[in-house]
Amino acid sequence: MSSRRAQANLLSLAVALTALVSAATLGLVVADGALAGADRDPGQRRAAGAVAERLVSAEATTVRENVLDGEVIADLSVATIAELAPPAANRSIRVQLGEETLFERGDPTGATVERVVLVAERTTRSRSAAVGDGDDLTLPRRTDRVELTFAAGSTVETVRVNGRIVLHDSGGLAGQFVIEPSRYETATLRFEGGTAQVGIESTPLRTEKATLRVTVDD
Amino acid sequence: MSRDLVEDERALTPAIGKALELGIVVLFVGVLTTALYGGAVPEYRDVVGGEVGDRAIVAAAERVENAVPPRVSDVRTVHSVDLPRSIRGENYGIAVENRTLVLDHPSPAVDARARLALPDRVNSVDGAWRSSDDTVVLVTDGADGLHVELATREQLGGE
Amino acid sequence: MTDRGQLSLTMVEAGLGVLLLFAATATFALGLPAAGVESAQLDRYADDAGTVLSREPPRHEGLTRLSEVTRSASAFERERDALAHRVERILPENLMYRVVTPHGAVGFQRPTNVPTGRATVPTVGGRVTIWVWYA
Repeated sequence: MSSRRAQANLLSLAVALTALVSAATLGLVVADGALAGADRDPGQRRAAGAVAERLVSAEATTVRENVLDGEVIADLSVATIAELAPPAANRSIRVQLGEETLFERGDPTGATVERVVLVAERTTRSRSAAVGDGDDLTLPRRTDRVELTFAAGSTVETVRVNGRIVLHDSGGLAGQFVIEPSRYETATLRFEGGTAQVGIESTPLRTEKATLRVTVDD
Repeated sequence: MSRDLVEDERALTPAIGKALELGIVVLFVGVLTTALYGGAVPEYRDVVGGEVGDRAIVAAAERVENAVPPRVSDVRTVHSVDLPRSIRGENYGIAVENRTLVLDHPSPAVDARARLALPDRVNSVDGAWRSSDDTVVLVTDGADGLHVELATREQLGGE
Repeated sequence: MTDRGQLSLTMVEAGLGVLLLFAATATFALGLPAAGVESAQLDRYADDAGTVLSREPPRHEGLTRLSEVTRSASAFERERDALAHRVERILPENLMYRVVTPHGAVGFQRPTNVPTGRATVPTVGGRVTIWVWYA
């Protein structure tokens, strides 16, 4: 019978308790680290997503949904961003379209949101044609805006687009008119009532695909 | 053959030794629990509550933003919103302040805000939610734009 | 009396306690996956692709490219290559896609173990579903 066992028990107890305390402390340190790593900062990701969503669907910057207006986008300003997307108002933000940086404030390295968009530039095609009563003229590219200029001495009374009357003046149309055919159909203009020399200016959109990238930081 | 109880040199008898060990272990557990619950645990609960509050308010803001329909007229839509019933063990409320969603929780560490990014045709945003309600977003068409309201299903008559 | 190894029971108990603490620590040390962020971005890509396709002019007839493709099985067969080509051009290069229409599907086989994004577009001929995932 060892005479030293009782004390050895207490000593091993002390060692055991020390081991437990150090294991608990290690657990706390790891917990601190895990908590810091789990901070995904949803506010940042949300601000980036909100800016991207507003840029892609607001009336001010787009021709239609997911189609950006090339001219407006080229000069994005602080005021536009602040007005479109308040969540990004006091944060550093970078907006890129393809390779080009459209707008940058600060140096953000936080959450990035990407959207697939088309960038639309309006091209203008004009031609001049002499039309007679009942003549049809088909515009080759779809457009939603056509400007007709009737020269002096024209006697056309009615203009139809795809069968629908858009201009009518029984005294003869004169001057400049803007008609808006449907974007979903190829427009066929029909002139009735007389003859005219007509200048036709249509502005079809030319679209190009691009990736909009918004990065936001605190 | 009976043996005499022999005196020996052990410091304590086994029974006392075990009792002492037990006492020390109980004391140790008590001290550790007090230390954790006094210092580390409330702090962790605050931080985790803050995270959950952040994510809850961001999810609610995104839900409200998505509830606004695209360019149509004469709308009345009701979207249900899932909020966590309690954060850090307590109910909380979400209110609207100047087009910003504000999470109002009894513990200040959990408070959070999220600015709403709504199109211009949205005229006003108001209303308030309690986390224990069946919460919905109501979007109606008013005279000068859309009106977004935070409401509950009971207020809308069970729509 | 032979010498037997004295295994102190207290040390065994302490060892078990430390092991338990390490197990508890490991559950939160290994961290949480961030897959939710990825699939949200993939969903956005799919949604954008659907929006762009659903507003595009068709190649021959119909209102939009998607409605042309879903009009009939023969129209789908005729247009499927052009549709695949257009979807590839629209999406960024690191994405693979699958477009499922009521008359058939174009694209790659959908893998089951990677996060995927999905969007559906209703058209006059049926629903078109677009799946995207990182290549």
